[in-house]
Amino acid sequence: MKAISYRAEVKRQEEGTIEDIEVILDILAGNRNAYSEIVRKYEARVRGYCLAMLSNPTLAQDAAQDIFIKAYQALDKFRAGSSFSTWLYRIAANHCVDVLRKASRRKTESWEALLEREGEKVEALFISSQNTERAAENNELITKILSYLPERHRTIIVLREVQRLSYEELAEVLKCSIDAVKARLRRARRELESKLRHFFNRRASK
Amino acid sequence: MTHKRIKDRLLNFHDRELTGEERREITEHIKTCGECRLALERWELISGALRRSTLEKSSKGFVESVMERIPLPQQAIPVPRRKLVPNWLIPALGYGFAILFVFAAVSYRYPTVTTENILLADVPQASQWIFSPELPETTKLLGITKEDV
Ligand SMILES: [Zn+2]
Repeated sequence: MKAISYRAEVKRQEEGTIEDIEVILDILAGNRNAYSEIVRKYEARVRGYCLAMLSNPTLAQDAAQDIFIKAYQALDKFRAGSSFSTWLYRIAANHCVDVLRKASRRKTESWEALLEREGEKVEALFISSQNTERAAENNELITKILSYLPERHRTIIVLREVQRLSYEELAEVLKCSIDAVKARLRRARRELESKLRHFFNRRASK
Repeated sequence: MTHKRIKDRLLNFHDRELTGEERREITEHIKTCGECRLALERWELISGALRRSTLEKSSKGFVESVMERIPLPQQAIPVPRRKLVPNWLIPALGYGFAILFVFAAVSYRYPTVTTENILLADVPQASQWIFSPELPETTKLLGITKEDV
């Protein structure tokens, strides 16, 4: 059953790639308005990525727009045969890192202070909760937690855990080998885990 | 696989990025190894919370805002017509005339003396040429008398 659904997923992705390239060729032939189809298709993913990376809705909204404009301007450099979504993620990843570098890095509070203030909510988010009623609050908490990771670790965690890219796609976006993806992912996860260790230790001792 | 090798591969197991054989081996191992089972569980909780997030949303007007920022296809660019008078011609003519004018002015102030000018000049009556069969004395020509010598 799982294998069938996996194959269906691969097929869906391949079809998506074929559709994308058709639209892109149309745009390159002069049909500017066809780009709205691309924006509509990838809007949620790009905005979600920007929000997870930048943890500020206004910055994320602007960044997502800029990413689509950059992609449009570079569309003639997109190579048919590769996946448009990974190409777009690559632009998004580079753009968000730029935004983070330009933005002030001053943290308003330390990680310890955040845990002190929001500890119970963080614990509920990771350990006890399955609740989806407080989705907005949880989203805010997640982006806040992610913002305490160095941008290098944050990029790969968001691409893997929020955007659910495969190792192969990650290698394409980050322009590195699969082994490098595994190593980078392991380091980033270790960092996030160590930040949350306190809650898991408490849970284990309960 | 040893406990250490399995521990290193737990996240790949979680990511479903292992071969069937490796998966089976790890599944068997965590049944009996509490440390590996806990480590896997811990990551599944963290990953689960991240995956439950609903950050991906479309917003009204986003597509339109992006499209507004994309330049419209350029209007037909008028093909530049070949000019009848090239750009350099007018200043060149100006300089040409200026040089000519200066030349004319200078020539007017210092008329050139040529053989033709003299020969064809409208000679006044007083200085008519007198032709004489005799060769005049040199002294007479020079306007001096014997007394002067
Ligand atoms: Zn073990």
